[in-house]
Amino acid sequence: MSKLIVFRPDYDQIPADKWEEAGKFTPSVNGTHQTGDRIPETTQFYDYINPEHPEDPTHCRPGPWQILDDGQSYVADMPGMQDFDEVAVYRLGYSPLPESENPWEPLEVEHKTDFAGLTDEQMTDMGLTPEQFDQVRSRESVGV
Amino acid sequence: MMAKPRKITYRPATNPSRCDAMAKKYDWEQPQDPKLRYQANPTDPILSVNCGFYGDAEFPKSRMDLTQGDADE
Repeated sequence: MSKLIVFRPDYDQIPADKWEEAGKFTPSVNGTHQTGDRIPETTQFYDYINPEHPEDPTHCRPGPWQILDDGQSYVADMPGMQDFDEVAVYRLGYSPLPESENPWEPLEVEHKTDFAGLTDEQMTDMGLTPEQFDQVRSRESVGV
Repeated sequence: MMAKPRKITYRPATNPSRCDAMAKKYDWEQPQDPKLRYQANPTDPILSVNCGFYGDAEFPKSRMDLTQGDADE
């Protein structure tokens, strides 16, 4: 059972200078993601930054984009939709908090690099083949 | 609210589709931002991507050897 999630901008609630960004929201912010059975648990998207290394954020805060409804689900039973069982469409709105009420907060980041205790099943889930298990398990654990 | 957007745990994998599969199997939530979902790990020839998940993203302990239980906590 897998679900395709699509965000549909509600342009009545989005300022004109953000329409272009809203239109790109689905592909660029991963609206077409496949998250199994999961529906978005958070109606609030978060922003993440690191001024020095944008790819490795250190701070976060609630972002301006929000899911406005509980979503509508459609059974994906059309020919050619064999990759998904269901399509869920959520209404997307734009409602930034005032800058003074929305400080950046430290983001906690953890890197799991201790492989010695992982089971064969967990290693398989990581994409490893049995020939690679011992090599990866014997690696030194690397700190963050 | 189960998701914890204020913490991101990275777990290595061989490619991004493994991140998606682990999220589904273990019920971990992935960040919306693709930069955080799939962090390239170019120095590792095998585990070439770090998968980002909200919260702790712990493997269930039940089927693990409990003698190694909390070593990393």
